[in-house]
Amino acid sequence: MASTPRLQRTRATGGADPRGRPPGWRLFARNRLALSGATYLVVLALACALAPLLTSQSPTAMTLARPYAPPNREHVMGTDALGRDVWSRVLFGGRFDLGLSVAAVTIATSAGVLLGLVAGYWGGAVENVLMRGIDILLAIPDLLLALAIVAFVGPSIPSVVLVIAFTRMPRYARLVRGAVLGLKGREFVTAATALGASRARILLRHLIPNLTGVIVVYSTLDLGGALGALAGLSFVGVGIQPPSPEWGLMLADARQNLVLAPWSAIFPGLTISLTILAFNFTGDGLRDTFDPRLGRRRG
Amino acid sequence: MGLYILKRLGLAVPTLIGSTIIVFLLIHLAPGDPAVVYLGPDARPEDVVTLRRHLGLDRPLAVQYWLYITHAVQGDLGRSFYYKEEISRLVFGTLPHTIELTAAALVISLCLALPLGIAAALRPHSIVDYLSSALAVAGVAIPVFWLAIMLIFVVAVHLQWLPASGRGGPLWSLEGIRHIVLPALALGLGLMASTARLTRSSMLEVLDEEYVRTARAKGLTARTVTIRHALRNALIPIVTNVSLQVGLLLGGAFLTETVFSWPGIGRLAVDAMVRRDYPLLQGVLLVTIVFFILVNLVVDLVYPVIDPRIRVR
Amino acid sequence: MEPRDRTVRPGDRYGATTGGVVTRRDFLRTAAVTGATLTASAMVPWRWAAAGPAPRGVLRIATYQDISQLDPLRSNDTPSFVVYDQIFERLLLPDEKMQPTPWLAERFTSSPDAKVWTFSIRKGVTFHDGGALTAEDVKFSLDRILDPANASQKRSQIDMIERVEAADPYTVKITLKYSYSPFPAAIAQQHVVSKAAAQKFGDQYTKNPVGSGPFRFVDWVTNDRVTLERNPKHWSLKPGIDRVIFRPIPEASTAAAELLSGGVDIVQSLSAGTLAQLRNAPNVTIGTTQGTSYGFFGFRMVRPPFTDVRFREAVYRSWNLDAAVNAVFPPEVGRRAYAVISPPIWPDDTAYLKSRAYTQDPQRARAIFNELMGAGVMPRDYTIRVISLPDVRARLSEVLVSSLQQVGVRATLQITDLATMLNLLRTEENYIYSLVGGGGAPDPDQSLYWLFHTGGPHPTFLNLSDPVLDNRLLRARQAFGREARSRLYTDIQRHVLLERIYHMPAYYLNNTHAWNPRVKGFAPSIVARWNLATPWATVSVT
Repeated sequence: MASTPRLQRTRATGGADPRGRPPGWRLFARNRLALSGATYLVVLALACALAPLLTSQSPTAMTLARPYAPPNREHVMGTDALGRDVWSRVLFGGRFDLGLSVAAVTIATSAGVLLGLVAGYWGGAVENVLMRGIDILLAIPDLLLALAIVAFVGPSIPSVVLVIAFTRMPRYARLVRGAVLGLKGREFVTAATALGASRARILLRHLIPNLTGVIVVYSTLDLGGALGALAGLSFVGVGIQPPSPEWGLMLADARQNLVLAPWSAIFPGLTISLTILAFNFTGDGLRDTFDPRLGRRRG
Repeated sequence: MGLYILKRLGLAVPTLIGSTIIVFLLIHLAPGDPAVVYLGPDARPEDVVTLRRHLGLDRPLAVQYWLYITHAVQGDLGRSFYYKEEISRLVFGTLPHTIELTAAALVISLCLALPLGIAAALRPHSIVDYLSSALAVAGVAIPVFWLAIMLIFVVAVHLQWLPASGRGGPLWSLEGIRHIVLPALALGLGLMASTARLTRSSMLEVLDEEYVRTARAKGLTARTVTIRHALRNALIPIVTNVSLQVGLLLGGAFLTETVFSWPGIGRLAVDAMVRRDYPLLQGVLLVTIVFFILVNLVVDLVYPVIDPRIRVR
Repeated sequence: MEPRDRTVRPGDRYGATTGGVVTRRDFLRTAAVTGATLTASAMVPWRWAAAGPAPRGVLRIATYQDISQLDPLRSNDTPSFVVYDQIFERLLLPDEKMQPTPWLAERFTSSPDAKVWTFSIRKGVTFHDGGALTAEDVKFSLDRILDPANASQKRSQIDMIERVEAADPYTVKITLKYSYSPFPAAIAQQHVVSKAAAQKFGDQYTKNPVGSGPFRFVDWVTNDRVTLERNPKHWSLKPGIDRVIFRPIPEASTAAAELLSGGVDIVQSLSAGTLAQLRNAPNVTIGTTQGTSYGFFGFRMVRPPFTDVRFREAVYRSWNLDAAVNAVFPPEVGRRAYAVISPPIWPDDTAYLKSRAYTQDPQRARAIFNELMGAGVMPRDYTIRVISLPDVRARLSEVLVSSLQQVGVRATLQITDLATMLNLLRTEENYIYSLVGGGGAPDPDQSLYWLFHTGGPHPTFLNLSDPVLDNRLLRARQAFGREARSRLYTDIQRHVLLERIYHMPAYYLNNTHAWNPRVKGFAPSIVARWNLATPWATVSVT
């Protein structure tokens, strides 16, 4: 089923050529959509990192006497209800949105990969218990779970990041376990086992390198989801707290004044959409790079 | 078939137990004595003592869970400390509105997405195909809360075509329908996008299969081929996708209901969250999750009817 | 068979997933289609399309939040009392100038020392369930508020009462602990409930409110609507409305859109954005009265540096409160406050307090903070914590936090609900918090005593301990004559706002409502509450 979830495709990638190396960036670069997505992300990340150089005012500096200025020379994206520069807030907000999404996905990936490896490689009771737990977590809609946990723990940057990571982790565990199961039966693993290689060695030398592609692709695609979750939590008021600039928070703030200052909602909203899209394009491109056959089939 | 049903039920039970354990444990994540957390800031000491006994808070966690779940099964989810009312009454009073909204989102998205997907598959590179691609991009990139804001701004505030909020009445009334369109669209866009894309690709695939070509060769009309042969087989991955999305719809309903002031369970939960009404939040979660697991179970059980291959296996 | 894959794919978000993959062509097509759609929608002329015909005799009011309780004992939030003001009545009713006038009490007298008050209850008043309203009901209604076990928020409004007696079925005698000349203003805020019904329903009375007012309760669907209907048997009033529906619509922009499309008739709270939209709309009336509800930033003074008045001055000097209030509140919604008490309530000391108010001076603020850090009163890495409710106050608080950060001190903002906030204000932590309190009553005592006298909830939030202030408040309360009391209240305001800086006085909330032409006879009052039927104004709908 070429049409069904990506996961199955990427899982198939995991079982691809055991010595498969990424066929290089040339292939990625040929995919123009992926390239533009990646370029957008790099430019955005750089702009956020260098935000102080690219903005003339701090994201929290206010011009109270003149709020809701429409976009102009001085404020290319206009100003918000407190006369703060939307451009500056978008860039500084990106530090939270990009940084925390990456942090959440990194944690989710590490934890999920570890659990998946353990479950897939050890098998038996360990696998059963772990996978049952993962199934249960997957049975709860993840936004619900995230909202619930943050509500009980209380909003703070670490808790938001950990909760997003926690709700996304099960999918990595399941993905990696599936891939490991696929690899376990392959000759090179059987051979290594026969030669007396230790479990740890097999995991480190043979399994993990073969999983890298799947994991990188999956994580990249997942970044868009993590970003959406972060913005969503902030939007309902349990994520990043004001006056820190964050895209979801800016949106929540601006919706009261849509008629007066649509720009204060449109720019952060557009940035969220473009960034999610860019993560998806880049992820798709990476998948094609790691497994060109799939890319062609899709036409 | 019987074995299949048994197996499905067997899988649902541990999932139910596991997820209710998670919901039960949430209250212990909140700082402070759970009894005080339950009763809220204005609790009287004697009420705290009574509740501690009722919940068995001085006994082991397993006993507490058992008490919690047996109370819940009997409909006792505790009292909301904001509304001072039985949580079960609040939850079951608002749940129908959420089901209504989710169902409307499902219906709207399928009614738009299926024809769009089929038309796109039958005529690749036509305007319709472009539309379905556009929908796919929008579905990926626009978070539901952002879409909701824009719909209100453009359709309700600027164009004044539809009301911006609230529930107008039962679905069979004109006001009821006018009110549900925007929230259902906001909630359903994602599902619509994925369904349209999926319909297109699986139709393309099926149209290429041997039996469809055979049917065509037999001289059957295009419509017969499309509906009788192609669509029926293309439906399987679509149904799978829809069942996968029910959870996402429920999650999305939380944000959609908040923006559109829809009196459903999601808004109840978000309000409870903002007010730190922990027992209410816990009750809402419990009911939502159990409801979600049951919906999935039903989908699993209906599945063999659509896909005869499962019955055989 | 394989269990079906429940895994959700990456890129999925709430309510949306990627169906298959997006290609460059897809993207370009989207751009084209989106562009075309936007252009098309821009070409459609603006329309003030009406919803279906508005139901006859039904008034629909958009409130900003669902009610919490309908038992007057249990709630004191605006959405709730706006509803139960129609269901329940009071012994005295504040008139248009906020002066208490006889209502359920036909007349009242006081002893010369203002310690014993006698109210004659009107005969022939019945509750919605048919029961007669007597002195017993009045006594019951006041006693339950005074009972500490009920922890009523209204207790502090009447805690000068020593005992309430029903001398005969239509006479209530109230004895106070001390002379209290503004007692009518206090009693004018308390509703009379039906003793029989309240005892019958117990804690479910809030779901089955039985009062004597011109409207009676029909039903309440959480987060959806509260419905009341006309009480045809009211002893005096003839409401111009058959049914009233209160709909909670928290988003101001959504509520405005509903007003424009005819979905609601009155919008109770308006934001800057919606006002801009409604001012230009035909068929919408915006009515404003200068309100007296006082919003402030209080210091919870538990330990240094908050206990040091220099610190509080430095905070006050860090920000431009005038500009912040003007930026956050459109003129219809709020205006800068320099005093606790605002005209028409006396005493009017605004001119003096305004001339001495602390104005923004970042250098001075920085210098004071440095001095405090040098002296060890304030640790160098000290974080000033501000807590706020999630409304316009959050915006003001954002300005405060950003301004503090710009002066070079650490500051954080926590946005919470009221319950959490009140909880935090009972902990052993320093906080700056923003609340609205007082101002709504016709006598200055009702605001100042409540806000500053030890023992009430507000002074507890401040962690206030100021015997001089307590003494002055008590003296002002017991004094006779407007002039003598005026002098005392003037001193008190200068003391709390200028000398000790317990509050940074921020704003008065104006009362602004918007309504459509269906509504006749409606006007906002100077307090946030209004009655749909009174002897001097009857609201009706076409």
